[in-house]
Amino acid sequence: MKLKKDVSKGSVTLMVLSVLEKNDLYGYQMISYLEALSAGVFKFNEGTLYPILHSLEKEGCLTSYWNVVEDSRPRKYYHITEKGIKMLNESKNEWEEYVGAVNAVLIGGALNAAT
Amino acid sequence: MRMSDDVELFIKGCYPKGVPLYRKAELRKELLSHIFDKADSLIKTGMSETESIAEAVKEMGDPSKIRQSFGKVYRFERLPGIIAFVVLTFVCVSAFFLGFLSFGAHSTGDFPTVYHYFVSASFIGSIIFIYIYSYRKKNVYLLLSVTVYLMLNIATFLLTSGIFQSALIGIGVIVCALFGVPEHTVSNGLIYVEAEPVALGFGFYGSMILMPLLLIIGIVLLMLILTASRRKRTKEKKKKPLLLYFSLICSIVILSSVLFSIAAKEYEFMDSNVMKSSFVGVNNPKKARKAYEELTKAQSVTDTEIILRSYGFYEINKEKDIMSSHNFEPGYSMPDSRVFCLENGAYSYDPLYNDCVIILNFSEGKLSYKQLYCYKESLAAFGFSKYEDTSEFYENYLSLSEGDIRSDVLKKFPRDVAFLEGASHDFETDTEKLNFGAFYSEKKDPRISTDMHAEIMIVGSILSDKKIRAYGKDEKYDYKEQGLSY
Repeated sequence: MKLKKDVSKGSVTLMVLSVLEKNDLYGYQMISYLEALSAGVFKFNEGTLYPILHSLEKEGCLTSYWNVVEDSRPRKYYHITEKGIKMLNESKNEWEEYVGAVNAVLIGGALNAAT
Repeated sequence: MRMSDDVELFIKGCYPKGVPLYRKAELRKELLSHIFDKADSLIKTGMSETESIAEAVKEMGDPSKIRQSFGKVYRFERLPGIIAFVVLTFVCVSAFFLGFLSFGAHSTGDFPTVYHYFVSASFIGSIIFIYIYSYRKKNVYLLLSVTVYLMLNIATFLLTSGIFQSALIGIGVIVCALFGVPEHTVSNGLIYVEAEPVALGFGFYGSMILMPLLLIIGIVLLMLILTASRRKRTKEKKKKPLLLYFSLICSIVILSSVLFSIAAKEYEFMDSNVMKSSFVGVNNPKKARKAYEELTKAQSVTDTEIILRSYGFYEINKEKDIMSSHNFEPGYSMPDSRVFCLENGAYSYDPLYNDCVIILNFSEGKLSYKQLYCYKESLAAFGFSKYEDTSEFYENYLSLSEGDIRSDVLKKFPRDVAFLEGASHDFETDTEKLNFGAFYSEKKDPRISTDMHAEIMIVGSILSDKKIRAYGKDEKYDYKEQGLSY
């Protein structure tokens, strides 16, 4: 399943910060995680991830560093900052509020339809 | 893993415009790393290397969208480039602006030398700046800067050589001809040829009107292209707005030209009297020659004057009109001279402002000789064609100042013609032994295409042969008594 653009647009930042909360990751890794965690639902044009990462880095939510693991090619790893964690928590709350509101409407709508 | 053209094309397509090279290098490294990681995983599924790379690039998405997104992130990194471009342009404009001023003032010798140093320093500074800047930044700004620099040169050349003004004067003459502007009018006893002053005025004021008009056209053009290019970009995002760059350059050049034009006029025409006259000499050697030929047949001073006036010469009122003349020393040094100018309606008898100037000189109340000033190019019309510029002449000329016999020097020239360099005014003190003397002196004037004017002297002995009678110092012409009208 592929989410409609409007739905996924605002949530990419939230998801990026979320996957970076536990580990430092590089771009391709993040895409792979997001795809695996969402069971293939979050599949978007991979190149569009980088402007988001660079934007978050510019805002101070992320920092980056180049690293070469074993004999692989050099990769740019991203690390979430305190500011990033704060932003993630705020975004999570907003998201939960939003999802809760949508669910309430959906459940209410279903009840009305049943009665 | 092997790089393909598709990968290269994709990476380049992702670069936001105007960002520093190090930023591009970092983006390249990161995007390549991603593509090759993806390709590696696709190879494991059984794809060939070429197919996997192509698929990896495809899954990255539209590079123009990525470029736009990066452009938003790094929009402020473009600012230093734009500032550098503006600064560089300003330096170039300043250098030529001051260069122009210092050049114009050089002939008068009263301009501080510090400006020459400033011009040199600005020029060298610009080159260093271009070098450092092009080393670090994208070349499009360098290209713009150098283009502006070169076009300023061309604009300066065109403006200072008078081609632009001459063209306008030409238009003015046609306009005058079409609308039948009267050829001659009489005012305060002076004969004016109206057509050319009107034409010259048209040239002068026309340039002041036309330049801003060009600027407005340039801005409108820029706006139209800008709007069109934006509209176009939404449809074809890959196309570069080359027309936008071009119109931007044109607008800058036009704006610079306006500044140059204004600066030139402000500097050169501070003197309101001079401003009223032309700033581009329109030489009329044929007319001057006819007058001159008739002058040699003149039997009297009266005849001389009648001839001059009949050919459009009018007498300069020294009390009123020579105040603006600073570089016509013979007239100043000789209070007993009468000056006639041909056309142009000049308020100064500097030949730079007039087609031709004839001075009748008097010595102790007698007409001693005549002088004619014109452009060097006009000398051929008078039969003066020989010119030999050798150090020998110059040495002889120097010795002349020490009292040697000048006719001996002049005999070295074929015919009775001599062109000597530099100031010729020393000849005024000893002219009786001479026949014809023609001299030229260099006058580098940015407003005219020719930079020389000539001085032709007819000495007393010739005048005596032509039976031109002595003219009393206090004697004045009464035209009514002579039965003359103009």
